[in-house]
Amino acid sequence: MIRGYSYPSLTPGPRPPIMLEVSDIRFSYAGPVLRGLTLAVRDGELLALLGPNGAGKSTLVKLIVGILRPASGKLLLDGRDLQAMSRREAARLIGYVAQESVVMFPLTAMEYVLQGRFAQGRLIGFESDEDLREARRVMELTETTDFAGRLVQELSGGERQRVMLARALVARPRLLVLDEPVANLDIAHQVKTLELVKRLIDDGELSAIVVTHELNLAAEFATSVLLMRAGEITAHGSPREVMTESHLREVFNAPLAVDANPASGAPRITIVKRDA
Amino acid sequence: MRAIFKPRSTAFSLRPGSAGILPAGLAHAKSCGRDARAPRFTLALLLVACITSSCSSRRAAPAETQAVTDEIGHAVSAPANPQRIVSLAPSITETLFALGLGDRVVGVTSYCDYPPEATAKEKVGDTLRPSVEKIVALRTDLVIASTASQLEQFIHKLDELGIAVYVSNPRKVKDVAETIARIGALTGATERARELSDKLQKRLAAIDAGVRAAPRPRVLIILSTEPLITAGGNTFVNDLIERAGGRSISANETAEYPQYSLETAVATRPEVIFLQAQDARLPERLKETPAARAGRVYHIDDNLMLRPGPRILDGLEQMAAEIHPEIFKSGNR
Amino acid sequence: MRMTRAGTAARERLTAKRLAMMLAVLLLTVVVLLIVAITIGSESVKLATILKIMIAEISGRAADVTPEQRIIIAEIRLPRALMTTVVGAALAVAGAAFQALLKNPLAEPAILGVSSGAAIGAIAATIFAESLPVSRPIAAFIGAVVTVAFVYTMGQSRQGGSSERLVLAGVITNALLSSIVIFLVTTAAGARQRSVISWLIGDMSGETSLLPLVALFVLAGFAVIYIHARSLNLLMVGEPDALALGVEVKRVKLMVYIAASLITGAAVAVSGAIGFVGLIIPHAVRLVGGSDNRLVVPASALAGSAFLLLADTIARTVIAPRELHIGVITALVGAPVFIYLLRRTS
Repeated sequence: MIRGYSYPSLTPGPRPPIMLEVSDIRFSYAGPVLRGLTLAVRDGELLALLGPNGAGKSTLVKLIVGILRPASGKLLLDGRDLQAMSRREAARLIGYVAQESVVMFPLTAMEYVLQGRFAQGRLIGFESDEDLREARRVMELTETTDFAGRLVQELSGGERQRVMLARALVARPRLLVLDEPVANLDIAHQVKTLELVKRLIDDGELSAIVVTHELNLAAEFATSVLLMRAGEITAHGSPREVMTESHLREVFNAPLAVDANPASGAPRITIVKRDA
Repeated sequence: MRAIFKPRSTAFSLRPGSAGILPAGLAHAKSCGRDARAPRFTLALLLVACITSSCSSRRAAPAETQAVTDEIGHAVSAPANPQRIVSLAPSITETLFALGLGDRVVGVTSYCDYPPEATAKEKVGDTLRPSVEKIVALRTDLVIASTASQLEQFIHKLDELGIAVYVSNPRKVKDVAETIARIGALTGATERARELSDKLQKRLAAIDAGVRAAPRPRVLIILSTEPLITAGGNTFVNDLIERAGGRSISANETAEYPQYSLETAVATRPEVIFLQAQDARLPERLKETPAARAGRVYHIDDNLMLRPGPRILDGLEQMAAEIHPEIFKSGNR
Repeated sequence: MRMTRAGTAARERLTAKRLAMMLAVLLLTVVVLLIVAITIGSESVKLATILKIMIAEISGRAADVTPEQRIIIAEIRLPRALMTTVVGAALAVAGAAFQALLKNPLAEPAILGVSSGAAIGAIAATIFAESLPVSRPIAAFIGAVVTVAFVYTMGQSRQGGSSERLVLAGVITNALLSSIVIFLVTTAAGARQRSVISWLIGDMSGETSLLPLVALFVLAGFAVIYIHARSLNLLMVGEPDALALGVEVKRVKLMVYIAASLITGAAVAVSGAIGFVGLIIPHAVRLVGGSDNRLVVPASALAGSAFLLLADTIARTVIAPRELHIGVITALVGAPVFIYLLRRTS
């Protein structure tokens, strides 16, 4: 096991600057969940957070987003202390897609997406033309333009997830944090979503942290992978470095075999059924 | 449930006039007593008779009873000379004491405050929820209740326990004298009752005579201010007002205690206003009524005016003096 | 419980124009019903007379009418109509606020026990500070706040407060507090000025001297809630979401809870715990206009006024000269409307 972090070799040449720095984060719920976690995310990364249930992945991202407060430790974005910022400032920098969202009241997709502009606008008053322009822009990107007038409750799980992604993107965040964003999507949309995220990263717009259970998707799209178990980092590096058979078998306690995707060379994870 | 045995009296007496259910054979066997021919048969029959009789927690029955019908038409088998009486209404307590039966009263309600001797008596609870255990513990032989207390289920319970309950039902002022007479008959104080009843009738007649020719001022009865609640035509207080020579503006209402429109109260221009509680203030918006302008706003004295007991005429006279000061002087009896 | 919107119009979001239009229609309705409330009553007063009295009130000169007519119109009907307008608005806005905070369309101050808590405060004020009528809405406010805190705490579980748990906690609290109201009113002498039923079901026939103070409280509370309307929109979708989007969730919740309690306290202090208004009015508004609180909050205020004015007019006239408690009317109308709304939404 590799403890701490090691910088993945993304591209040859000078390493991109560190965008997100997490230092010695501790958090407890009923018992300790994170015991002094440290990691860094650089500009242009698509970091996949992998690990079994209860590893602390969702907790970690909630701490980054600001939904939970750490008992101790620092969170810096572009060198600025996230905990010292106002919620509005932090919201302008980080876009978040939660695991699921239950909406009890009639809300159109457009209204939902526009909520993402809350931190930009004035507290009182109506949305500006710019707000509307941005909303239409991200809805096009996520192929949700047709839903604009429909109620969020009337959308399917997958359609809703795309609208949630649109909302996270509308404020043009520096860091996109996605907690299982493709869980309800069909395979086509799973790929499209991650392709979209990748494209946005390549266009220099943002970096992303994606929590997912889809190991192969992570292997294909991520530039770096963080493997967690029981609140600690067991490995951090490029997909090829982290997603080895021994790492995965140990962390997930599942019969997995790893070879290489013939097309891309990225790790390909397959299930090896246990012998009777 | 008819008793075959009367446990208190000697076990084997057959009284004339009692429900003679004992089989003739047993009767014969008992009177012969020493007939050795069927001792076991006798014992068995006695056992059966004992079991089938009401061996429950039945109290001793008094020596004599009287069968009366009370004022709600309920048949009462009361003791002929009740010695331990519980009163369940302040008006009844006052009546009993006025009839000179104070020492036969063993229990009263917590609201029974007149005469002062009554407050020394054992309390069996308030008028709404008296304690059955207390009544039984006091070895009560007669309970007198009033419909003003709404005690229907309670009466059934006492019936089941074999305690006689007499319910009085004074709907109007004139019923008071009648109730007093009947309670007198029930308790053997017929003389006193007749005296008292006659006195009350005379005073009532005097008031009737006084108001007969007088015009009837419009009276507003205010039983509650927020919201405004007045009394309907079927109530005791309405009858009081009628007897005292007034006419309530809500006399036509069939509901007992209707919530009333303030607008209508103002529009009828009441000439006299009666407020129920001692501490009630006249609502601001009634301050320009003829009654308020003339200072003719009075309080209903609950104890004198709403208790259908011997002091009702005190209350009625006071009210008459307030409604017709030109005919009756207050404090004049 | 999920809601769907009437019609399939491609209405994407709330615009200033739509807001203005809906509010204008509602305002007109309120004005009409206000006029109706002043014109109709258990005593018939001619329209011409009413006009004369209204003019006289404004100009300060005496009118050529009988003193009874003047009192009926200027001192009974008009203040009562104005009070009804204020109380209706207050209850509806408080309902909308609680629904947003609890993320539950079933929330309203009456169901949550907040109205009963306010009633207890007001009753305590009539017992201990009888000579100071202004103490009633203040004590009611305190009662409401304490109840909200209690219900909120009771509704928390390890995973935070689920909205169903909060409503359940509220229902239980309401049962408890209603019994306390009954106990206080039947035993404490000073409390007997108002009947138990008036406190528990609501009644608009009381003294109206506190109208200016109540209107002030309601306006202040409304302003605070309206300022946070956009934040409430986000809160309604979920607290983690709202936090991530930039809402200072703790602060907003605190301010809105306090404002909603202030409004509820002011209303209950003068009219008792009227139910159903806070429940069905915001619901109906959302069905027609969407969930954006920038619309729902002011529209509920106007619709609440309109509804209560109508209900009170019925309460005053249907068995005249007797009156029904207004809570009876709101329940008789509210319950079937609520059932209808429930069926439409699922």
